[in-house]
Amino acid sequence: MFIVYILIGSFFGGLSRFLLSTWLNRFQFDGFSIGTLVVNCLGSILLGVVLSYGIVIEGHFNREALIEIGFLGGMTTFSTYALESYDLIQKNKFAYAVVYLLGSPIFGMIGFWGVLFLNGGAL
Amino acid sequence: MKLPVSLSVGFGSALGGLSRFYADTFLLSIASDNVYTSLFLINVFGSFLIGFFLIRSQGASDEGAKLNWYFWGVGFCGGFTTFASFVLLLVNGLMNASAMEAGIYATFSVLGGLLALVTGLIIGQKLLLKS
Repeated sequence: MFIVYILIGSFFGGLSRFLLSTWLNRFQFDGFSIGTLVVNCLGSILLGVVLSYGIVIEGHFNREALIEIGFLGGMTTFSTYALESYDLIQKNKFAYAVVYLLGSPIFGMIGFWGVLFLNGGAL
Repeated sequence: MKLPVSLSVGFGSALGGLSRFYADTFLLSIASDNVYTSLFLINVFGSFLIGFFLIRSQGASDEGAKLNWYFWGVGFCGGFTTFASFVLLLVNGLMNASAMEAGIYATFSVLGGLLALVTGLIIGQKLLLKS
């Protein structure tokens, strides 16, 4: 059954990523696309929410499969992060590449931590 | 947004997510349950694949080839790789190990991903020239 949960979660995760990042990419800052950056950070924040508020609990495998492995795993992406970074480097936009490369994990961690902080530091 | 495009991304992502689960299970079994090694390899391999698929779909004008990119590139590679777990591992690394080790892991992941992507672009290009 967990296979079905992973499939459904990843389907809607990937779909959300695509729709949200496509919409966000309409707002370009000098050729810098914020879509994947925002979606990756949002996914990291949501992971903080589902883990710290007990929505996903270790051992509850169906919930892990649907929400953590499936939805949030499919919603966030590393391959497009690498691709868009490379694209910025190739266009000689080194400052944006650095902002994107460092900003994605740093904002993601701050968001994740922010959730833990709001919830009293519990994970 | 056209429905076939969105569906291609969705189904590609579903296949990518399931593949990630199986790859993770396999990699954990051979990497003595090291979640850092497993996620590193998954993200690097997915970055290689997206480079490969990008080259294969570039210049394609027909609808089928475009949908191929949405399924394999945006959907599959996007769903196969993950950023949320990457952030979680960095946070865990910062709390349980050290900022230095988390920084090294992040640097290796990013550089590995970029290197794999370029390798994917080159191999895709070579195969394209052959065919």
